[in-house]
Amino acid sequence: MVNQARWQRVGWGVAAWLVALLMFFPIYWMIMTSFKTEAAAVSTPPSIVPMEPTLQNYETVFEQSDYFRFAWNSVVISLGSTMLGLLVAVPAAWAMAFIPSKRTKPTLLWMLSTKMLPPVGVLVPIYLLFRDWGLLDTLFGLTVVLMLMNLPIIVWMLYTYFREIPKDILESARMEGAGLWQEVVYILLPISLGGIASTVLLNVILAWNESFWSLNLTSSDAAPLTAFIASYTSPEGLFWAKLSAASTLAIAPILILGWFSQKQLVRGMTFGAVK
Amino acid sequence: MGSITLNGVSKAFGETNVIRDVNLTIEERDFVVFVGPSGSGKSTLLRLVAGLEDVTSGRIEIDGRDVTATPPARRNLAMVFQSYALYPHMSVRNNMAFGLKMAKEDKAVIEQKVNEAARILELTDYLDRRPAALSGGQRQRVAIGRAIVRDPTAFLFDEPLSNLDAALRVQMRLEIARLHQALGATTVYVTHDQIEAMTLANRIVVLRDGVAEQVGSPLALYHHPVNRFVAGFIGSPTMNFLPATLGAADDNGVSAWVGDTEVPVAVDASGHEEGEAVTLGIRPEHLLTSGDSGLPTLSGEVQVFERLGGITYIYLRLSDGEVLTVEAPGDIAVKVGDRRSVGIDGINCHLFAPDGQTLPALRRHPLATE
Repeated sequence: MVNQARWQRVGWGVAAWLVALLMFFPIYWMIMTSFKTEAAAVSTPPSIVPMEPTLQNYETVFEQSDYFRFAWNSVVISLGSTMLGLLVAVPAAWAMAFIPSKRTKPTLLWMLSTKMLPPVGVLVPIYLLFRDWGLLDTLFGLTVVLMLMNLPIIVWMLYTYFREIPKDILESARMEGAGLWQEVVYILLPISLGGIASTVLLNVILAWNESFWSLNLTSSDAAPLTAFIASYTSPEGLFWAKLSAASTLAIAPILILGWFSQKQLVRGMTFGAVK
Repeated sequence: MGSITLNGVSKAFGETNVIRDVNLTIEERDFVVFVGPSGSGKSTLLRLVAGLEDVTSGRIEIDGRDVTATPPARRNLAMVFQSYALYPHMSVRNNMAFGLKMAKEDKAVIEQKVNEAARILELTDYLDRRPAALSGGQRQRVAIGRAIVRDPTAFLFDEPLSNLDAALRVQMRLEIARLHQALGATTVYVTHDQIEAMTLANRIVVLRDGVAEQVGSPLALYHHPVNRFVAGFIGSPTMNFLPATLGAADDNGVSAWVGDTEVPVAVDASGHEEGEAVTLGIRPEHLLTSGDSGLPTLSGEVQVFERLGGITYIYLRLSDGEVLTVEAPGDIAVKVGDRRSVGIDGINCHLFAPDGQTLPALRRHPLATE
């Protein structure tokens, strides 16, 4: 019996490692390719590790384009859209969690359902609006669009966190003379800090990785890192090694951020799932 | 400072009427307890006073000022919740100081008030802890401390002791009584525990389905319940109810027939006729198990008995199948299956008309003040 349980554990361990390796492989391959020469990158059979590691690709990438401007745009857009989203979502989630009406659930579902539509469905109207309002290729324009795209997720996550907070605590603050603003700032937000942190992280990552809107609505001034990667697919053909170097540079910041905030992220995504 | 008046207060949630036309005056320094079974609306009534719910109709006044539309933050009431509702991210000190900070009190004053409350409630050593690091009783005391530092117009308690174990509950009950004596502040207290109601209150409001069935002192409710519901709700174990028939009436009251036993009861039966079916109510502690008292008796077979040490509860099955709860001395000799007689004194009996209303007593109990 003891042995069987032991083997079961080993079995699951092996399976988990296999899945993890499978998921990590593309990232590994991209990083390795970025250190190969263009010739080695397309050679068959491919080599698992670069035979003659080179930094040539990174040098070229930094020479050809302004990585830091793209990175800065990504930072502004992902943080900006998340903060803007919080400003709208905190009051919305507060209302839905603490003064629900019979239309709260349908509203939430409707919000979520908008995430199920392919974004290309609204591309043309949004593109035309942006053109007329002069928002094309502006940081502000892209920030607002990404905020709207991720708003359902922010509201849902905050709503789930807020619902875990006993209503009594807020009512108690109210009895003690706290106005709405004080109730939110001194009680609600500090208590749900963990949840807000997870929400912020997830949305920064989503916005960072977003490529559909950034490719369609920006060209140079407001282009974030996703556009930077795409610029390495050129009509002259693909430069795999340089593309890999650009991609590695683009995901490095978010990968590091994700690595250090694993615990928050996992908590955020499984919150309310197990009760 | 500290009178609260409810004027025709009603509350409906959608189609459901939770509170129906409650009129109540709570005087300064009163300790009023709302008591009733679950779903009777007692917590809702408290939340209406607090302002956490809006009334559907009616008026609420605090110290003569209409506060019906005033938000809870500006009613200057302090509430102790069943869940304690402490702020989990704040130390005990900050929990207690929060209300004062909201009122923009001076830092030094806050410090002094919090320390004073902590001293009274024996929380001084815990001021820098978070609520999570406290026991249930300590959390309860922090919740009370948070209320008293603010020096509010009145204290509202919503079933504050129901999360505590039995021993702690008795201790906290005494502490709340002591605090009320010391501070003398108007207190409104909600409970479903009638022992808490009897021991703490100077006035009890018995609620059923959102209606205030009776308002009075604990002993007035015990000795002169206005109807069968109140009679059954106040007192433990609950009052015995036996089917009876009205006999002849005279100046000293009316006789009630329980089976073949005639019990003279000192109530005013005017408006009722001889032969009418009524219900006779007698509390277990008023049935006499000792020898020949010259009183009318009821007899039956011992079905079960429970020894609590100091007293014994005997469950007696009468010939018509009714089961009578009898409170007997702790050392009484009793066996299951025994036939026993108990004496029944009309002085302690109540008669209820078929609609549940009590036939009015001819004499009031001397301790049963309004």
